[in-house]
Amino acid sequence: MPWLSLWAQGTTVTLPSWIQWMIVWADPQFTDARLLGGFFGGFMTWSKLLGLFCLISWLGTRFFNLFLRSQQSRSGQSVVLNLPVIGLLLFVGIAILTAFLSIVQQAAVFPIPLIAGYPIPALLVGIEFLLGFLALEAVMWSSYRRPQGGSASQRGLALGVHAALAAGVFVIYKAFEFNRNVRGLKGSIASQDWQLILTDGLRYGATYAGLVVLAYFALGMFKEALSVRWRRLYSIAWQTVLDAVRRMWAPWVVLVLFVLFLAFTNWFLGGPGTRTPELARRYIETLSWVSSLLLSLMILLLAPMSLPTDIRTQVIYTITTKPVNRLELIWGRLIGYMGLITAVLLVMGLVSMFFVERVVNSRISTTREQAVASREVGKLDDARRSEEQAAQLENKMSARVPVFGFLSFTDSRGKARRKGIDVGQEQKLRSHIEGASASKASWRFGQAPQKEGRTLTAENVLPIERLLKPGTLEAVEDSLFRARYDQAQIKMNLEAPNLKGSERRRLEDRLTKVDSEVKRIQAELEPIQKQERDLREQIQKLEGAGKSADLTSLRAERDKLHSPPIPVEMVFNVFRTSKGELGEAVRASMVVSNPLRPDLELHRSVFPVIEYYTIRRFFPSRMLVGSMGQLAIEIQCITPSQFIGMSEKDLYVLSNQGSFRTNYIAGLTGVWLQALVITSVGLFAGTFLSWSVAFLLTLAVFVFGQLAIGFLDQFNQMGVVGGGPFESLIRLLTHENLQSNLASTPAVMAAKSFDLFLTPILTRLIYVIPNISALDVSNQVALGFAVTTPTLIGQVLLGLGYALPLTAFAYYIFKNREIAA
Amino acid sequence: MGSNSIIETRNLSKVYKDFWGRPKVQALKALDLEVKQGEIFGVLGPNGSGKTTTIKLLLGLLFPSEGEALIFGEPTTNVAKNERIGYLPEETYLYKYLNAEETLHFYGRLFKIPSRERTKRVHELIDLVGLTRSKHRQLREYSKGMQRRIGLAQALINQPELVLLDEPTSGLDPIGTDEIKKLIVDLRRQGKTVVLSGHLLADMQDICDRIAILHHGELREIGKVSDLLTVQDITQIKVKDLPESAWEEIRGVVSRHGGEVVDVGRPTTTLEELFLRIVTESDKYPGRRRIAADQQPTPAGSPGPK
Ligand SMILES: Nc1ncnc2c1ncn2[C@@H]1O[C@H](COP(=O)(O)OP(=O)(O)O)[C@@H](O)[C@H]1O
Ligand SMILES: [Mg+2]
Repeated sequence: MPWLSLWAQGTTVTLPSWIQWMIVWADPQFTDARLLGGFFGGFMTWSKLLGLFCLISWLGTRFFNLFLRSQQSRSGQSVVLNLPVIGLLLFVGIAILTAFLSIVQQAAVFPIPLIAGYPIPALLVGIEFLLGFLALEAVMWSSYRRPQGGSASQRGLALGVHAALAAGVFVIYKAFEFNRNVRGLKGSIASQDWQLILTDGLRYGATYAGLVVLAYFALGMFKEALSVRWRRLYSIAWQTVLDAVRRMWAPWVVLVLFVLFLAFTNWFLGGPGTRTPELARRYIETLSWVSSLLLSLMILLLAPMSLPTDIRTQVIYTITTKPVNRLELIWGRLIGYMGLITAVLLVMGLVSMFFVERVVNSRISTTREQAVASREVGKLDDARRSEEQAAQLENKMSARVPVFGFLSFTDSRGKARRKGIDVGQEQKLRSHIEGASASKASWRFGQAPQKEGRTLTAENVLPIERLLKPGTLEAVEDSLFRARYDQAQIKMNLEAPNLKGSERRRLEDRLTKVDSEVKRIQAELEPIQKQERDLREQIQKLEGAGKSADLTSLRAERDKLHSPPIPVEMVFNVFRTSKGELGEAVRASMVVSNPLRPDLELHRSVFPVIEYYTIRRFFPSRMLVGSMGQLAIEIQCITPSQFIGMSEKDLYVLSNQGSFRTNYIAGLTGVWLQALVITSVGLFAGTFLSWSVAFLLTLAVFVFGQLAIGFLDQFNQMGVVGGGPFESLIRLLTHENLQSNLASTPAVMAAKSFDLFLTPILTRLIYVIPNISALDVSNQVALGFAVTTPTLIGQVLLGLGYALPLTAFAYYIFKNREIAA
Repeated sequence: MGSNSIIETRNLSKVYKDFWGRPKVQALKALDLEVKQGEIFGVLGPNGSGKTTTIKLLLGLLFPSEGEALIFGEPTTNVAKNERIGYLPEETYLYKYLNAEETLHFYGRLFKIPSRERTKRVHELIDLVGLTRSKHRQLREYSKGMQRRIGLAQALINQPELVLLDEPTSGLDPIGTDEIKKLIVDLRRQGKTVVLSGHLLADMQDICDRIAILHHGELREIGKVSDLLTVQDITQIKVKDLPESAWEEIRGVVSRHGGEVVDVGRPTTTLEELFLRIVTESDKYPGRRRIAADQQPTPAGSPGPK
């Protein structure tokens, strides 16, 4: 839509905001995180997709009902080839024919005549449109009677859908007209433009229509949800659990299998074959994978069978004739299964956690012992390596949180830039700084740059209270600074003219409190400072005397008074120009400063840059004293004529959050959410399929959602290169490569026609399959990163985003199902 | 329609269809029924005549192909009305891994019954259907008759105003049948409405107020039991201790009045009644073979223990 680009490019002339909003609500492209950000954008996209899905389902069911009704002719005999079926066949036939003709036209095999000045494919598309339109109208207005949902509300919905379509055309028309006015165009709108307005408008309208149908369904669901009672949910859930435990023995089987797997895992991974730094990751990933797999298998066997079994054994008769609504039958089961899953997962999770801890801790201590042993025999390199490995492993057994800064660049002439140098490589996201020049990359923590309109979030502020160890010199000093800032602030407020009496009294009260706080902290600080001074002197003396044995213990004592150094991690890439010395390591410098404390000495260090390798540096914790969460880190490239490249997220300060244990438990949420989605899929499938088919469907969703979603995504993009599935098949059979142009044989053209027809359907399939693998966070836990609350909330919302609509669909299907038929 | 009608159907029809929506069986044809409050209403008919279909339609387990049914004046798919309904399906379909108590609690929780009241009712009902001794056994160990009993108990857990029993006596021994009949009569005494189906006239005739007879999905007869069973053109005379010689005289009297004697003989009882009597008597005098009616000792001289 060219006329929308005005708005999209953010030029000074913008569309009226209501049109902007209507467009944002209409077009899935316009709601990605960049535009609206966060949960709202996600929610919008979710609603739109769900809406379209509801629209299709609604039309589909109506069509199916129409088909069923026309099955009974008046004489009571059945007719298979009735009007709806003929219509559908005609529609698909013409679509494929159209695709074929347009391919033939492209390949220019033989000329296709024009009819009335129009090419035949275009005419066919027109016919198709008309046919589709008529069919949709027929389907929408067809009235069928069901005991539930009178046709009146259905007619209302049909009206709403039409209004939505009209709204779509209207919005596009308005945007178009606005654009014409801005450009000062006059006269009537050309017929091609009308065509565009109509097609794009209908496309927008379809999204609105989807939202209308979604609202209709959501309202019905909401009404039903109001009559849900906990005692009934509980009753159904309780029965579900007993069914799983007593009839299927599910949790016992799973736990026994888990213990077997655990033994096997230990045998397989526990040996010296697993590199020490990798040990924790391998164990955590494997065990979480095993837990997830076992739970999924359990739920795969339970959930899709649940309703079909009750229907087959007809227990459902005695249940649905009680005052239970169908939503309770589904949610109750979901709750029951999730309760069971929670219990089993907790057992497996806790066992795995203690197991991992035991294995890893023992490996850490043996590695440390090795280091000591190597040191004793003088193998210092080996000793250092062992120590490094033990430290890395220890790192993985934590819950670290990266803190990100705002990146800005200074160019080689010392001017501030938003971006560094574009070296014209494939790295779109990375900017580069030049070696041995004034150019540098600066990360600013705790304060957002003013010009770029970015906002400070929690993940940009250094969490001082977690980075400085309580009771250490730095931590106490920092609290003294804070108290002094407070003091100064209050004093300044007190000096303000015409201060109210009550306000003055309040401030003075606070000032006395802060004053005494300052005194208290000073009193706390003095002995620590004195102790530290004494130790330092002693160490200096001993260093002069060269007595190493006492030194280590003294040093350890001194280190205890300080907070440990703060780790910074960074990943850079290197762009070498031919001017540089080959084989020479590219070196960079890091300068850490505290913007609020110009009096503090800067911390400076130099290190080699290994491309795409996580470089870990430390800066002393004193840099954070009095920083109020702010910090500046500057990186410069030292080696002349070389460039290093970075993007904002490539450098971060690490803080710790909670313990490994809490992080491990939090990480189980991912597995839990996966189970939630699979359970919902299983229950959904069970509402309309026999148990075996329901099982297969759930299994397929599980496999695709877990393993193949990445593949499907690739397939979506690949479609451009090698053609659709049929064309690819031909390439495969004829051993042609992906780029070559296939000869325009009839077979090739037929394949291309089918592809043209099928690919849009296949590529949209990906939205239907829940992305189960995206719910997993075990990877983060395994790398020793904290699963933060925002991540958890995001995951939970994603899980519910799948589970809720699935149960809603299940409810609608189940409600309209004739149980005893 | 009277204000006290509990069930009403109008032109209720059901065609079973196959997967493709093609009609397979016309199981019920244009049924018009009305069941009044406090009635015991029997639906009678041979196997496959559409009794179960009718009951399922009334409960919303099936959707009518045509016509409609109202229960308590509401459509059958209304869930709230189930609060006042009890249903015993044709075969007892319950969770086999629950025991009797758990089963009743499970169903009881689906109703709005306070938990103390529910516990009380569970005990009472288990007692009523005679399962007290096996209430902790899982239902998979139950015999068919026991399952029938627990099925009946679950249908009564909510003290329903309307009870629908689909062949309540199938699979039961005559004693069980008799107990159930008594229970049904008891329900009527409490002012409840009962609809039951069956194919044995004998089971129905002595308890039903009204009966509908279905055949091939069509309503053939409907009315009071006594009306239906009375044969209008035959008069029955029951006489005791009449010598055979008197028969000829009676014949003469009959023919003089222009009538015709159709049958003369001794009355028989049904086998079921006989069996029943045997069982009740053996309960009274355990360990004794039954003595033929004419040799029975007078109650006064009975040597049997009390
Ligand atoms: N689910 C079903 N699908 C197809 N036909 C059925 C189904 N249930 C019952 N029928 C048919 O409907 C007719 C009536 O059955 P039913 O109501 O069960 O009879 P009854 O309870 O009087 O024995 C029978 O011919 C039976 O075969
Ligand atoms: Mg039956």
